[in-house]
Amino acid sequence: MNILVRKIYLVLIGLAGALLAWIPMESVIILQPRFSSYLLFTLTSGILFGMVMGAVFAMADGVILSMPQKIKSGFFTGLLSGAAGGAAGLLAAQALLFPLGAFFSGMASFKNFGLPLTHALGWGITGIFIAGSGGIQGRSLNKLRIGLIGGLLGGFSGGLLCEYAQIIFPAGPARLSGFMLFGACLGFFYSLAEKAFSFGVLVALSGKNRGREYLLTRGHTVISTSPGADIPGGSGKYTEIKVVRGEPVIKTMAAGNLTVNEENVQEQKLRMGDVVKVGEDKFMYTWK
Amino acid sequence: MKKFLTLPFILFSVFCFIYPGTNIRISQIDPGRLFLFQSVDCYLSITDALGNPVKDCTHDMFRLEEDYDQEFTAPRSMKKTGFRRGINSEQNIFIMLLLDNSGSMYEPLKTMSGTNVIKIEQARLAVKYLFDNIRLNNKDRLGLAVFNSFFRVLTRPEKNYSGFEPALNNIQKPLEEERATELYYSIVQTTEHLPPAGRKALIVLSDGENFTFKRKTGKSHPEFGDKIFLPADALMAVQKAGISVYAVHFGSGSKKDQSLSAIAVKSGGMVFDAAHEEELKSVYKKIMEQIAAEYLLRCRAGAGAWDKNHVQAVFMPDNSRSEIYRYFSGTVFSRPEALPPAVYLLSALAGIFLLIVLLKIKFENKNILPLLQVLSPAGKVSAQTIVVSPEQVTVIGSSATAALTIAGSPKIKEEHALIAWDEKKSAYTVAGSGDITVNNRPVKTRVLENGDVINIEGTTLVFDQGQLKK
Repeated sequence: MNILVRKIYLVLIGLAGALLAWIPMESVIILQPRFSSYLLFTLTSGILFGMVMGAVFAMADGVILSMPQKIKSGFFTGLLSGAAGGAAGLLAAQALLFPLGAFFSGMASFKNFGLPLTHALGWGITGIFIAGSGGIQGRSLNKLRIGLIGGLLGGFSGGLLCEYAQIIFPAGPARLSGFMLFGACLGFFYSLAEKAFSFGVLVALSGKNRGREYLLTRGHTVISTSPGADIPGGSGKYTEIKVVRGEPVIKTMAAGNLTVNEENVQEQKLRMGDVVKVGEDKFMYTWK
Repeated sequence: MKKFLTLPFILFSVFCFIYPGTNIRISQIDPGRLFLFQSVDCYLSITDALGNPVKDCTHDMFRLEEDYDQEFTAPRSMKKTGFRRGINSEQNIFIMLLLDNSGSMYEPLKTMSGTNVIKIEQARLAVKYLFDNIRLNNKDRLGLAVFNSFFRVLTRPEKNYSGFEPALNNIQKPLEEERATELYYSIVQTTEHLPPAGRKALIVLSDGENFTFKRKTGKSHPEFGDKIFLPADALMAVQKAGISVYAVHFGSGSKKDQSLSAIAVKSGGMVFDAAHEEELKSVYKKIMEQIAAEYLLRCRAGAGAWDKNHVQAVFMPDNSRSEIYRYFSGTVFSRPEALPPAVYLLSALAGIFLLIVLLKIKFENKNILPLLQVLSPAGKVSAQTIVVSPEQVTVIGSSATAALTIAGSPKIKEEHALIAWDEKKSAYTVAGSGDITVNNRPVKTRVLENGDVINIEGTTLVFDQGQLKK
């Protein structure tokens, strides 16, 4: 799987998340007049929306790498971080929406411009928290940054498309199509941010994963045969790529486990084109 | 029965006697507490037929109604959660005085004593009177702006009053091109010079109608070109900023701008006529009294799924109603959609199906033949592969008959590298007649392992021995 396929996967995962998140969301929206306050309504919808989107989105790495353990852990942590993120995101979005809406409501083109723009900003903030929950889950500052930027851009553009879908097709399932666009945009912009802020790519040269490209997006990337590894392969011995002052350094805990360009090393800074052998698996480090 | 019918009539008559011709207005709605406390603050102004504030009202005399529909087809009564009299006597009021300084303001006007004094001089004295009163209470803030063809802010409504009087005294007579009356444009501009929060009022003093620069001179306006500012622009601007407009038509028999009056009423303000300086002073006094005597009614708002909520105040003793005031109440996800249950089921199935498909696709290398894969200059795996046959030598070079022809570099020989099966070592071997590297190390000949990276003058190949060895 190369980076392009990874992008497509992220878009499709975002889409699947949106299809599933739309159901509880729409149900809550229908019940909105029964809520005693906007605060309670926002909190409930944020938790439900974030839980589903967060759980599906956090499974992305596991699905892409075909690692069941990662899918399982991603689902449960995504459920929790997504609920917290969705609630916080939607609360922040709604708190911002009221004054913004008041500002835009004076515009002549409020319905066709001010309102969609205001709503889209709310979606953007929600997107930040949904996509950012991946960073919280992975305990990675860089992944958090990717989530923030990808989430904001994806959430805003998806939200804007969602809003205009409702204006152009008021009779049809506009919000459902809008949600799908939101999910797809979230996945797409997340993948763009992921690429822009990665520290390079490790291409698998051998084994069953030959040809697979791994984006180095975290400060610490573990290469191991253990189920929780970021890159499957190598041996059971702990090998990691850590980022030191913006540059990736590969390091192993066991002597004789790691070679870079056929030289045994325990720790070495990686340069473009370096051929790394961890256990029996070979990788090449390249720029993104 | 007769007694039964008489009592309400008597009560109504008493109310009408006490509050004859009352006028209720929503001067401002502050939805700042809407999100956290689900309540809105409504500033109410109530005046009698003479325009004097009614100060002794109690909370049960007011009712607020809300409806998402501006036609008010099914209004809902809002629950009152707080009430305060004279709310603005306790807090700062920010007032901007917008003074007409067009050509007509330099025409003479009879004072109360019958002498002729030009209008701007009379207006100046009345403004001075207002300023002195405001300065005395040391609480409210007064700003001053003038307009003709152009709009100019002379002083902002700030605590420091030192610049006010010099600015008032230095109002200059307009030149010929400055003698138009860009009234609506100036109202729009004034809204930007009042603070975002707090009770805000705009007093507009004008002796005529909006008369655009374009109409007067036939030329485009130097500041905003051919744009024509309409009353709707001015109303929208003041409503957006939460400012109530008090329109003062100055001068006897002068033309009144009816749209200015409408803006005042719709924004929760009032309309006054002042024939001369003395009347103008009493108008200013009345405006200040009205604002100071406003009531604050805090009500619980509904949490309905609509983008705008419309509110109307009712003065219950005579059932008089205010203009409808609206505020933004939209949520991020907007209004619900009425869809059949099947759509929900389809959405769930589609989402689950998509996830299962993505999970099922495995991007595993199932190659069984030995091959060489060409990498792009950026190190990405390309689609180009060469199957390495154990039966014959695989040639890589510039020759057209090579298995992989690399053209464009004079350093590459016709048979630059050869890959062949070595029976003794039971492995493939690469031999270079030119410069080659394997895993970034220069070699002449070398046994290849799975995943080795061969570089030939910039062309990178990855060797995959596959599952068949011979």
